[in-house]
This record gives sequence, C-alpha cells and structure tokens, in this order.
Amino acid sequence: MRLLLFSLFSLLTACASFAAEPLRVSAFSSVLAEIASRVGGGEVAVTSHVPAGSDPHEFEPKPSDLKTVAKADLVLLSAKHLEGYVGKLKEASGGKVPVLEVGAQLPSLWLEGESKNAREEDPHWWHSVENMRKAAKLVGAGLIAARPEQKGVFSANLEVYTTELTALQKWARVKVAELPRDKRKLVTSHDALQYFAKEYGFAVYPVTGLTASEQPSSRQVADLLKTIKAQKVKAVFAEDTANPKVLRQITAETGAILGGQLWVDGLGTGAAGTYEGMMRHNVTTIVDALK
Amino acid sequence: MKGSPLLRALVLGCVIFVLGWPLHLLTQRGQEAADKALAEPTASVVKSALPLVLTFSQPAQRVELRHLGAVVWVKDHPALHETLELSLPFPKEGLELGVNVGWTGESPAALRLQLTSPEGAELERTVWGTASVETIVPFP
Repeated sequence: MRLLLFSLFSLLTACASFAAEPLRVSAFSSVLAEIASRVGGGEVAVTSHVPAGSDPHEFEPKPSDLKTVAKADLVLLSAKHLEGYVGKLKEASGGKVPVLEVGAQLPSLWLEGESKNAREEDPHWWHSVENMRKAAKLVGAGLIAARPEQKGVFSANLEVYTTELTALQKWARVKVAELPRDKRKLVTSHDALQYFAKEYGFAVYPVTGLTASEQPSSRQVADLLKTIKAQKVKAVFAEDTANPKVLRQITAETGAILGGQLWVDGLGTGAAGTYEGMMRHNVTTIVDALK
Repeated sequence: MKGSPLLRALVLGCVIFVLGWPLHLLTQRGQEAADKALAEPTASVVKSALPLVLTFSQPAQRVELRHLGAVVWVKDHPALHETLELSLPFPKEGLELGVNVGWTGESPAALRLQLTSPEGAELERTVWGTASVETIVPFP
C-alpha cells in the first residue's frame, strides 16, 4: 500500500512539474524577446539570441544558438529579410519548431536600392508603436497556439502590454508635437527610422542604406552635406551600431550639432533596455536636439 | 587614318569638345535645378492670423489648444460655436494643434475644428471622445 501511495505521489509530482515547465521561446531580436517576456510572463522562458546593442544585420547564429532553437517551443523572427540565416534555424529545428516571422505579417516600407529599379524592404518595423501593438498580438497568438491552456494568462498580459504601448504612442505624439513640422528632418548614420518618420511626419536623410556596416561613397557624403546646408538641419544623430566618423565630418562641415545617440537596431542598454525606454530616449533626443 | 599624330590628337580633342560641351551644359542645368530645389525655403517662420471655428456636439467644461507644447488658447465653459483667430506660423509642411477637451456629460461627444490656412484653404478635423480627450490634430 505504501509503495502504491509513493508511486502515485511521484507520478503526480512529475505531472505537476511537467505542467509547470515554461514554454521555451527563442527570439532573434531584443524587441521580440521583450514582447515574448511581457506577454508570456512567468509561463515562458525566453532566450534572446541577439544581444542588446549589437548589430542584427551582421548577426550569425553560433552552434549554441542552433542547439537552443532545436529545443525551443517557438522561434520568433523580425523577418523582412533581417535574418539571412532563417534556413539554418529551420534546419536546426528539423522543421518541428514553429517559426513565427512577425515582421512578415506587418505592413512594409520599401526603400530605393543602390541600383536603379531595385527596392529594398525596410526591416526596422519596431520604430512604429502601431506595428509594435500588432506584433504583440501576433506573438500572443503564437504563444496561445503553442500552449492553449494558458490562453487566459497570455491574453491578460497582452492587454496590459498593449495598453502601455497605447500610452507610449500618445506620449510620443505629444512630445513630437513640440517640434515644428518643417524642422522634422532626421540625419542618421543608416536608414533605420523610416517607420518612425512615417508615423511622426519626419523626412529622413541617412548617411548609408539599410545596414550600419555600409560605407558611403564620397558622392553620397557630398550630396548629404549639400542637403543638410540647404535644409538648415540643426542636428545629426549617431547610432548604437554605426561608425560615427562620417557624422563627425558632417558636423565639422555643416555646423550641425551632434544631437546624441539613437538606439535603432534593437533595444539599448540601461534605461533604454526596454522598448518604452528606447522609444522615450529616441523621441526625447530627436525632439530636444532639433527644436 | 593618315596625318601626323599631332593633327590626329587635335582632331580627337575637337570631337571630344564638340560632343562633351552640350553634355556638360545639360548636367550643369540639372545640378543647378536640384540645388535650387534644395535651397527653397522649407518654412515660413512668419506668423499668420489663422481663423479657427470650434463646434462642440455638446457643452464642454473646458477646452485647451496647444502649439509646439505651449498653450495658445484656453476657455472654460465654451459656447457650442467658438470663433477665434490664432497667430501662428504655418509652414508648407503644415502645423499640429494639441487639443485637450473635457465635456460635461459621459456620453460620446465630438469637437469639430475648422482652420483656414494663410492661402485660404479650409481644413477640417474632428476629435471624438467620451468625457474627455487629449490628442494631436494635424493640419493638413
């Protein structure tokens, strides 16, 4: 009898520990890692593979990343061609782990490519708070599909998170409204703020294209110098992942000031380590420098 | 081709000049046009008197209008129709007004803003809310 009771107790304990096992989520963007953590709460264990402050355009998964992906319950990708290694991830998971390409389900902005008639899809969708709300709902749906019994928890967390995003969007609109519309001109190291620009009525003049590692030609720099002078742009902005050398040249030759550093390729560090913190930092830095 | 090398070089130089000069003129004009377009003033910093009509769907307790973060007009218990004039710069990119309105009732209510631009264009926007609303209204 004792043996029977002990076996029953062991079985129940094993079942309980299995049920309490958190959902394993592999996120290939610090922004997606935050969404998964906030919506999933204590029911998920999130691995953020791309460290905050690193360049996601240059990221390549290591063997340890692929091992984690193989054991995951859900993989989250920014998509829009940001992760060139998506094939490796699918191969590592043997096609058994659901891969949610969040950005693929969000509206796209297309930028002029280097060659004529070539257009490139801008992958930096998270700079639109509206896109973030949609992304949170997509991730929420992905978590519910992976663990339907936790639907109530995920839905409640999603509600709290999207309410916070709505308040953030309202704050950003009020803050940006402090800046006259004819002064909303953004000179940045690379072309990462088009979604932000569209949402808040800015024109973007990037030094280079969609990736921070590109080097501008002397012709591109000369054209940009001319534009900055003609448009009387007051400040230019450095980025977390880009070389500020060209920006120094721009400030020296145009009289524009260095307005500060923006977090553009994902979440930042310190106070900018959350999506809200990153957005508040970027918006405040831009508005205060261009006023 | 017969002739001295010097003569051939001269002929070639003339051909390059004859073909190249019109090309230079064309590209120069294009560049000048581009420079002119860039140099166009992007905004009028001069303030204009902008007529604005506010129409409330139901009585409001208070309405506040802000521009560039500063309050430019505020009134407690405004009439259902208010006509005013704001002295603000109106750049070609347009302007934004911050609108903060509180109604007396709890039912959904609206505030229509009809702004006339310096060029005489009638711009109309409507703000909806329940009890109160705080938002940014762009013109155009």
